[in-house]
Amino acid sequence: MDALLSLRNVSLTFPRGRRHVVPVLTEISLDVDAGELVAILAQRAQGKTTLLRVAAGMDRPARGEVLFKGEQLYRLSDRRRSALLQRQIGFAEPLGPDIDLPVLAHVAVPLLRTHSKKEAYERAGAALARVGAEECADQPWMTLADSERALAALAQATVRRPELLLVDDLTATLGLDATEQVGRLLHSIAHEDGLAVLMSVSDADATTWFDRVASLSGGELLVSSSPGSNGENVIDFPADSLRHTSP
Amino acid sequence: MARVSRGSDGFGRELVLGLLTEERSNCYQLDRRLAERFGSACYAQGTARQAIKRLKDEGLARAVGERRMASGGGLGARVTIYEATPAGVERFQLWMWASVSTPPVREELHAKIALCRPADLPRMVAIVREAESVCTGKLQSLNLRVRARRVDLDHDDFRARMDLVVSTGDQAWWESRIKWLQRVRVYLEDEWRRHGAEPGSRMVVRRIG
Repeated sequence: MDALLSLRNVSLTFPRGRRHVVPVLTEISLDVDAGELVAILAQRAQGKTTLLRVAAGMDRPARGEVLFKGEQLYRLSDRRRSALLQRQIGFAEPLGPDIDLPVLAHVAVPLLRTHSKKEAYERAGAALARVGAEECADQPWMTLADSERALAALAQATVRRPELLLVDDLTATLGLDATEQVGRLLHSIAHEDGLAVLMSVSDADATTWFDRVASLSGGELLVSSSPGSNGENVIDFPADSLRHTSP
Repeated sequence: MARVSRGSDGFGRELVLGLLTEERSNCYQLDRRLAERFGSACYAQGTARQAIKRLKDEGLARAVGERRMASGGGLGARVTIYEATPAGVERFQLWMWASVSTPPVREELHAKIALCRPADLPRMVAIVREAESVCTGKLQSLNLRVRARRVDLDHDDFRARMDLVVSTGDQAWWESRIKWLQRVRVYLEDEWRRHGAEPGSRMVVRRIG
């Protein structure tokens, strides 16, 4: 069965000056299944956000393919890709916009185009209740504490009941308890709804409730393996057998 | 603070002694408890048997009986049950209250990087990459144990709470290891490029024969 999200040999570079480019993502391949939680452990400025944006259909990679439910995202028209992002892919960020809306209204925003205001607000209230942040509903978004904002961001990202949830380092500024709360919440939502979750994290604590952990550094993503699984560590070779090749 | 001498096995002996002070056990049970509670330490099967032998020789543990193990619905091998002697309990308490030692950093990977030549860089990058993958796998397995401990946590169970604290310490250890490997990989790749490799090139290893 196809994975819900597949990245195949995805590469992306950013220009630096007129002549140089900086590789941000290099030959990244990753599958995420429905109901699965995958954490990408990376330090600052290693391409976490870029990887998630590529997976969301926001930033076109220079090379490689991104498949969502077997369909190549970047072969879709901008309009169809945008519709997909609105309906089936949720994206949660720690900061969110600097707006003065009450939390309930902010969480309801994604539904206002497709639902009546009453229904949108009801569903937003339910989404807040599900993440345990119903008490924040009337508070202005900007006054939320980091932990409350993380929960409200999750409520907003899941209010449309997406099939894929991309979460960008939501726990970076949270304490241990709040990180644990977010992890448990994602775990239960993913397993109850069959939601696929891909989240970038900068701390191992945040990976506790995830099924798989991958490591991103220097633009390269390494998935977990057992010692000797690729055979490299049991190969005996002389020094002159090493040579460099371009991929 | 009292000083406790350590044998060549570090504190594995004290660990087994500590488990015996908690409850009488046979060697199989001790090996299982070592794996359950100190999984990241990767104690090998048979660790308990070796430790018990030394503890018995030093008068710190003693046999208190035998029991037949269950095996496929019938009776299996006869096993010996051990307990800590009063001297063993005292010895364990001394160890418990002594300051902890700072472990020496004797890392094979550190040594290899320190001794590598430019021609070794591609292989060093591959080794670091492999170690990074293995460490993320270890973290992943540990996460399963931490999750199970959190889900089953009895807040009134002191030992369970302490085990959880240790698990989070293991998580922090793997995290710092992975982050160091991430940095080293990028650094070695830069070095490799500086020594003539094309950007983005990968190493090819030919098997002998």
